[in-house]
Amino acid sequence: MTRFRLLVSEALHSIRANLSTTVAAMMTVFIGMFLLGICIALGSWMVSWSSHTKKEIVVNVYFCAQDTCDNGPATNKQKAQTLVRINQISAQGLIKKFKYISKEEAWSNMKRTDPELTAGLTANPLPDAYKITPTRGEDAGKIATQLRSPSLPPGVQDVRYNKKVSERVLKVAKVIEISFALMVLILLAASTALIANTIRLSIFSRRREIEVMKLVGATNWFVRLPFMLEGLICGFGGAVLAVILLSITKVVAMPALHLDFNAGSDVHAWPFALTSMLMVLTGLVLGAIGTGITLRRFLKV
Amino acid sequence: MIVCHGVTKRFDPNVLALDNISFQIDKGEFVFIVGASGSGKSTLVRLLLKEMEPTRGTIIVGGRDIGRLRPSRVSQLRRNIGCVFQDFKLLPNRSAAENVAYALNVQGESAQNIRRKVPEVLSMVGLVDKMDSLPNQLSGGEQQRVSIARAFVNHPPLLVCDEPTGNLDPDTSVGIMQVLYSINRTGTTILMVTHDREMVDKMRRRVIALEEGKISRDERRGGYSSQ
Repeated sequence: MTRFRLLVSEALHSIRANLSTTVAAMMTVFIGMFLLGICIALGSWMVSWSSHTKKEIVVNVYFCAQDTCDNGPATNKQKAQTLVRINQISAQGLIKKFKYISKEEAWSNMKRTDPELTAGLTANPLPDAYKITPTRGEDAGKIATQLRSPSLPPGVQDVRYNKKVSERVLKVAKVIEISFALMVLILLAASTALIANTIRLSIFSRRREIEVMKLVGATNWFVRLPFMLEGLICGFGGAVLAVILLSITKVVAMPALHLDFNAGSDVHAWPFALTSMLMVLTGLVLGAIGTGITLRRFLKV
Repeated sequence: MIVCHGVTKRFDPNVLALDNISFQIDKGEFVFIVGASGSGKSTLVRLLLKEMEPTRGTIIVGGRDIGRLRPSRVSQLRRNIGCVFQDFKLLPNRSAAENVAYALNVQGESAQNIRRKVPEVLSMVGLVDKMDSLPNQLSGGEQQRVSIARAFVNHPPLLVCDEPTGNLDPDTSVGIMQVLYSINRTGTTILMVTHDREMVDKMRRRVIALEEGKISRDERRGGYSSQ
């Protein structure tokens, strides 16, 4: 107990002796962790939104109707041939699910979803179709190409997927995911470097104590632990401050700015508690890594 | 207490600090290590404290070959060797008593023992009335006494002193030597590196003289220079 008290008092003594640098490091961790928190919230929301949008990408295989093809409507045999081709693509794992939608079913769906659009029509203009949901949104193009090559199956009028929208969504999502990861990495590296530097200064300012400790037979861990504690306090303190600011932002600033990120019931950022826990944990890990690097390089015991 | 056998320390191909030296120091002896600057005295002290490794040779302290000591056991070795240096190495923001208690704290001594041992040892070095003084409120001699108290508080079997009177005037040096002499009488082996000719000549103890990394003289009751 005495030794533990001594270790804590050594760490606090070290922080006091080195207060401005410790505060600077803590502030950097604080800013880093705050941005990390925002990155996690926005990033996880974006990922959720992009996967939500990806889920909506479908490939439609439209069969010939009475007036759309020269050879008349698709026969049952032709539809069966198309099904064989879809099954072949499905065997490659590209298709999550597919469903045959008859023109009657499509018509009643449309009447339900767009009553105004169907009100003026006297006859059902919709063709029979297969609605294919890809395993991954990115595979929609591949599925469409395979269905089209070497040529469209007989009886099929067209194979379509919401190409432009899906490609843009996927591109934006990829850019967001990469920049999110890069920003977080840079912030983590900067915070670790600053903690490492703080501990280095701390070792320098306490070199006399370290010398005396070694002289009187302190164990390696006894010499190192106060610095470890100091690094952890730096990381933890910065992260806790960031959680406080983030919760203030969430509770006060976001409603005041009328920021609403409602984009569908299944689109949401990670829960705040999880984000906070991640921030604190990251702060502690950064503290430990930063201190560890410095102790290995500059504290030979 | 100490056995050095064929110890050589080479810093780089051109710098040979110690060249194949061998000697033995028995328990309870008071030994002066003398020699000119650069003769290898301080290197010997650093080797004994395992602050560095010899290039060749064996060093045995308290029956243990310190060359074979695992790094995690070095702290145990140092707990059995009290160290006193020319520049005192006291912590400036701690009082005399706190400086002494620091050594015991680091070694995991109980608070009760610390409260008992610190005044005892400070009284032994004649500083019981200055327990609460900070190092900058003490004279050089008093600071060295605190340093000796810190080195001896745990009653180590060996005390290594590297020029303990180097920064002190002759009268103060005598006081320090008296303290060291009284510690020696308790059975503690003392190895003292010094340039203090007068002190060595007056004390007439064993003298090991180093010259360019070699032992040039080892006399039972020697003086600073050869007779």
